[in-house]
Amino acid sequence: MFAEGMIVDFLLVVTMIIAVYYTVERAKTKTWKIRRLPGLEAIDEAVGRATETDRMVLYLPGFGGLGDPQTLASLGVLSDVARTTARYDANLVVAVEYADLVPVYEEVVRNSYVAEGKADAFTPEHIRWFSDHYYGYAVAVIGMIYKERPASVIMLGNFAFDALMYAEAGAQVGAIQIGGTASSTQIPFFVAACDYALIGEEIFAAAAYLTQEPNRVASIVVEDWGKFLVTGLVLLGAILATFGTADWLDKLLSY
Amino acid sequence: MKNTLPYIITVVTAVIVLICTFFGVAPELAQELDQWSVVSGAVVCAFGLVNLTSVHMKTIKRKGEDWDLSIVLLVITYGYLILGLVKGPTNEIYSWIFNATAVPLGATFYALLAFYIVSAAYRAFRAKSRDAVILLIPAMIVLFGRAPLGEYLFPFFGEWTGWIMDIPAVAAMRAVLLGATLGALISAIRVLLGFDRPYATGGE
Repeated sequence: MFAEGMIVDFLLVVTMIIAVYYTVERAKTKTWKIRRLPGLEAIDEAVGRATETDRMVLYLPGFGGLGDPQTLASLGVLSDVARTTARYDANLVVAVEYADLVPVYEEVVRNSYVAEGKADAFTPEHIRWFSDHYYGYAVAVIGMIYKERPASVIMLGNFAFDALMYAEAGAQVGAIQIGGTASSTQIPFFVAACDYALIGEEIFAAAAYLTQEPNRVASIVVEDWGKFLVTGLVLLGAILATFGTADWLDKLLSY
Repeated sequence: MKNTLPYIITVVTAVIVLICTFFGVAPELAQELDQWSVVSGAVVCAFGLVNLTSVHMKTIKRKGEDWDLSIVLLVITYGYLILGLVKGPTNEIYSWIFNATAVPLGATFYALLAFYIVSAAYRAFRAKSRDAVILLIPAMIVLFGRAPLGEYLFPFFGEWTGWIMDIPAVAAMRAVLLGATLGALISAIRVLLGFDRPYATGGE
């Protein structure tokens, strides 16, 4: 009935779906807290600096498409950033890598401006598309950073080698920088070059943290349950492997 | 409708792909859906072109900063687009323009990474705080351990480098990877259940 090696994967996904649904329902009567994330608290400071210096806030959502969970997480944060820039009358520019995402980002930013009662302040120029070509996009963004000297650069999403280039260019023009990615090879670059860094799964908690919507916070709880489960399995595996009896666990997980 | 239809398409597509993956049935159906995704992505590329034209046309009309470069950009973009439409993507001139400009420019850009790494390393490794010192010490060991001259001068650094790369670095990477994977899974489930609808932000 099942494809080879898919039984455990299927059970895991079904369990997670039930857990997310259960916690979201439970969030109607129960609240959870998310630990402090300084990188996200700095968004107000970043936008405030842009307002004071009359320079823009540059938002980079990375190169993932809508199928990339990091992009989805980034959209949630962008919504909050756009509301803040609308509130402070700061100039926001979102540099989008893929043309098919332009209408999505326009809608997110427009809705945030509408929510703040600043619908007239929204213009399509808030969203800039340069090229679907990876290098073309990166060169254009770096050129824009040097030329227009943003007061703040917020980079959240899926990044590759270009992460360091944006972060370094931003640091060289003196921008306040917030960087976050789940791409493990790029995290060190953000840590090195940004004022604030969101590491790994923190970007998935970002939207929940900023909005404090019970429904979103509930999903973070399931993520933590998953981490407890994985940590437990790692510890069990380490103990069993030490005593040379881990074969049955290995076999069980391979079903 | 603006919200509901995309949600129905998302759920139906996701359920089909999940069934194909878990139960190993009709793999060609999942591949077909994947193809549709690629084709629809190519079609909506026009949105980007509209955005690019709009931004640069305004700069040209206002005679804003570097408005002449906006003209160059639009001429090249539409010129290349027309060439591709008329001659086809396999045309020799069309391919030559791409290979003679975009490819070397990409390689040059990638090469710049080395200078950015040096600049970032200088900033990160300045021993101004306890954290920076903690970062600096293993970084110097790995740097010397990996470089032939460093390993010649300090032979034991090679072994230390191996330990740093294989034990603490791998442990940290795996921890990040596990957390990120779980976060990605939960995000995907939220979209599947309709709690997040990034594709229909405009409302009904």
